[in-house]
Amino acid sequence: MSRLDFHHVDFGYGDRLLLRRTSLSFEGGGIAALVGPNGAGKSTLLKLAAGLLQPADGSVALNGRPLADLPLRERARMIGYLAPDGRSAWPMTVRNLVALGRAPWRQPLRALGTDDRAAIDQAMEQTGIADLAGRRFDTLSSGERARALIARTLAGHAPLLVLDEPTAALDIRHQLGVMEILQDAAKAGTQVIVAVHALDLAARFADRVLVMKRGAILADGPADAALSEAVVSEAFDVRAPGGIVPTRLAPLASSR
Amino acid sequence: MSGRGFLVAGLTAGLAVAVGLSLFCGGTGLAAIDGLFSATPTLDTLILRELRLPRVLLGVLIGAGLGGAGAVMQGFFRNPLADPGVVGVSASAGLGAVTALYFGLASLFALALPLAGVFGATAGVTLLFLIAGRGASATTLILSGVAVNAMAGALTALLMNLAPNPWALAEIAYWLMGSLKDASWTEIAFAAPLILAGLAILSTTGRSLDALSLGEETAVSLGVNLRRQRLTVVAGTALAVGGGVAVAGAIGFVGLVLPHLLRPLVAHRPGALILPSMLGGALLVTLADLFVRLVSGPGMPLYLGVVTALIGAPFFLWLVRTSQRVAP
Repeated sequence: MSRLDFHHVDFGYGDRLLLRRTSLSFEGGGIAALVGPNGAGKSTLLKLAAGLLQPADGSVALNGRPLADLPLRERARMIGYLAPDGRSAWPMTVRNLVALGRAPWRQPLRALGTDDRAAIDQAMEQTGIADLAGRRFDTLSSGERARALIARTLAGHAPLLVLDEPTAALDIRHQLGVMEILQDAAKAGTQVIVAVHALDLAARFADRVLVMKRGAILADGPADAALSEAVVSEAFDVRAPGGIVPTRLAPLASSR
Repeated sequence: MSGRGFLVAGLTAGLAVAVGLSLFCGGTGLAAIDGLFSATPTLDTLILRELRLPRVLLGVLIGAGLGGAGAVMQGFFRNPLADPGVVGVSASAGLGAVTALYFGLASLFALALPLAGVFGATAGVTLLFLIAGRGASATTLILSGVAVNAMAGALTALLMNLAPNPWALAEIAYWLMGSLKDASWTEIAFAAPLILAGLAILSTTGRSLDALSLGEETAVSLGVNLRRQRLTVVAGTALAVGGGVAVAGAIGFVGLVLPHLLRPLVAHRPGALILPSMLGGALLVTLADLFVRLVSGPGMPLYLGVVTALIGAPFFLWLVRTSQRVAP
């Protein structure tokens, strides 16, 4: 179990502050969904959470230790991060790509150990891509790519997962599939922080929803409270009579 | 044995055969090996020991340096067009060496030339990183390379322009074409430690290059220290390329061609590509130099750098075309 605390975090690009004295805590597992319009600061918040950006002021701490003080390798074992672009520079096989997730655990010059191989197999099982192990990444569909990249993130066995829009550009069935994978991970005790665009997905899968706009957190709580009509119209400048209704769709065939 | 194991074994065997061919082709027969360590060697043995052996060894080292540097640069920049020649590192090393030649530093102490090459290469690759910066697109990288090449080329041209006499000019011009013909044990003694150090440094980057396949942020999240890796790539490339260019001139495109040909054979893993690219680079330079030696007539020397460029440039064109089609 891990605990992540933002304490009075300031962060900006150039001289314009985006986040101001932001304080937040994530603990106890479950899925925390980050929603908000483009440019709201979701990706920035996630990168701060993953230690990829350093706060201009204040601190982000994992189990009480500021991320900036953690050795890179130790941090990598504790926090798994999924970038939003979802690309691989080289057309590696799915298994080799998933194996990259073991990097924080590997010793120099050693081949993959039994633990590593077990973690890779398990991650591919969890994401339903075991049969794609030998396929080249560039031959996969978007849905398969998304799952392969999530498997890569899961293979690191980090107790905290930070994912930036893993459902972007996926159809509804694959969105559901991805969220179910995260839900399983959360049930197993992993703390998941995920940015999503689809509010109905957030409403259905998240234990906690954070609504952001221009770097500020407008609402933070269970989906029905956080995604109220008032909050949604303020955050997105759209009307949402009655608030957001969780999607009731379920994949016909198993999505994995 | 894994597929990569076979590849490494095959390339090593190929290299051994090529080295053997190159040592004994033309003039000297196998008999020359008899007196290799004798105090009163025959002429054939002398040729083998004092001319062939250093020439072949230097070719192997330079080829390995270029191949390894190419593989690492391509992995680091996530770009199959990165190559010490294309991005101007070789030209910068050349500028360093020409400067040493021009100001007579090279005759002051023997290590001056290779060191000047490494210094020039360091300047070039540092400049490249400064312009191309983080996560540069293919276009930015190549344009930065063009800029570095142009800068090094202009300064080299200036030195040639100011050359005190036609002989000095000719010396620089021939030297720039790249050749192993003047290789001696002295060159090996000074270039080998630099190149070997570069190869050792480049070999440590494999895991980071693998992680970098998924982008810089993902690599950092996997525990890669990006700043340290950047310094490692700069140092490794400068040593592996600079030391070689300084003693043999610019031998282009080896670092471009080899990693590209071998990449599919290691399942496109950038880290797994480094060692095979070193071996392949050594093999290519050895064969190209053998070819050069066989076709060069008396008074008609063909230069190694010219041959690799004649092979490499069309390959580069083809690569530019295909990489446009399969944009990621």
